[in-house]
Amino acid sequence: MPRTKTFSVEDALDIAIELFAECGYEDTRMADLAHRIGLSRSSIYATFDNKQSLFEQTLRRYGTECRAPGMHALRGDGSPRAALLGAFQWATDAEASPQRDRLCLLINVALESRTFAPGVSDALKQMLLGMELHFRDAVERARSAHEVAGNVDPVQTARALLALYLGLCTLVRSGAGEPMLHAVVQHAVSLLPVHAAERVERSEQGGG
Amino acid sequence: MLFAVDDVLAKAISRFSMYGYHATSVGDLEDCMGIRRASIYHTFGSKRGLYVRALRFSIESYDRSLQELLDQSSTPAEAIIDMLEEASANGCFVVKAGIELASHDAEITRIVTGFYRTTEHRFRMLIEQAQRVGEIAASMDPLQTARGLLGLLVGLWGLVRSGASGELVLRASAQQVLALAPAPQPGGLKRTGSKSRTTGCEALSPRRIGQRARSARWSDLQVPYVGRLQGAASIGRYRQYLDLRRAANSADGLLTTSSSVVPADSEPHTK
Repeated sequence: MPRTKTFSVEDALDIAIELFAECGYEDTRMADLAHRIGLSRSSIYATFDNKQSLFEQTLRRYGTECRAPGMHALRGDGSPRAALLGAFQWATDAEASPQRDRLCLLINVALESRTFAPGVSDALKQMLLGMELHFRDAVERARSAHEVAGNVDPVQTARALLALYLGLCTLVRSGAGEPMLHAVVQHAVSLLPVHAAERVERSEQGGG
Repeated sequence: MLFAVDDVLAKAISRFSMYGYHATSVGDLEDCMGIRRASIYHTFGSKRGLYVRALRFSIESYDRSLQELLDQSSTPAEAIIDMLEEASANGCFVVKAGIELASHDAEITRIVTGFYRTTEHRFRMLIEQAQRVGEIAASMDPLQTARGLLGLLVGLWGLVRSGASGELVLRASAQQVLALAPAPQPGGLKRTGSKSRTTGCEALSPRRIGQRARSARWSDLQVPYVGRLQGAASIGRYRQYLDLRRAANSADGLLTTSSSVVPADSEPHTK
């Protein structure tokens, strides 16, 4: 099929996510984006205004639409608990694959946020808030489906999962090694107990 | 030119931790450290030499401030909460170094992973102490749990850096540690052992805390833990935590934006 001159804003943002992930905010040029999409720079500027505005839109898409790496697992129709753990597994598996570099955007922007303009900082917070809400939604669905215990609090659990996910991605990037990553994934598992009663039994075995 | 090495290192750290290694030039360092290029090279050898020194210095000062913090904690579980809560800027520089340089620089990878291992070890010691006094369930594997907490700590550094509020971080951290507490005996508030029920808890009886906890919709799992907290500081912290929790049962997120737009409902761009 011949390349057409039309493009969707969504597709362009997905390409922008890749580019920012590879090069970081400072080193990404609008000309690179235009080149990768196959459009002129003027069309890019006409659509996105400037780099900062493009970056803000990219972060919003990243957070609100599960485009953050690994988060796509949460959108599936299957078991919500499996989807939650799938997101963590994805990040762990990414260590040994080219996907590892895609984790970069998530982590780098979080740690670079103090240097950003207020508009970008806000977009970053919305991205993380969006991720938290996706986690919360999945925990709520898992609870309704009786996949996790009824006493699991979706609000607090989602926050812990977000922090843990960010930590896991950071450890992956820093070369923390498989045993460490595996333990972090297990910690996520322990945040999503299947039965409240399971804890009583375990404690009775181990306690004295 | 005379200068205190600690002072200029602290300045270099604030520059590196904000902009990273690559985006900081020697000229930037001259400006922020207030010393000449020649002094930087004379004292630290190179930009990378300075970076490595700054990294080690940052870890040492984090260790010192953490030790002070842990000395003040009244119970091991509280010390774990304190560590998670004190997701400080020092640690963040190390995390950032790991992300920016670990894949290219073996020495920096060693320093960063060494720091993670020390932190993991510290959590492990605290977990084992907490298990001995019954604050954390004996069935928890100390090493695996310590690694889980390390993952959480690293993530919290990132979140605090992105603007998450300290209160919410405290709440999420306390929740985590309370979730490790021993499970209750069937029948609610009864506790194992024959220890005095009220040691150090006169200000608020375990029963009343239990009632408050329930009214704040705490899961039953966490109630017995309250009775085990010995120090008044822990009770104070716990009460504060309950208040925070009550205020936050709402739908707000860990991060609040100045425009307070909930992104799930908003379409960020229209064509």
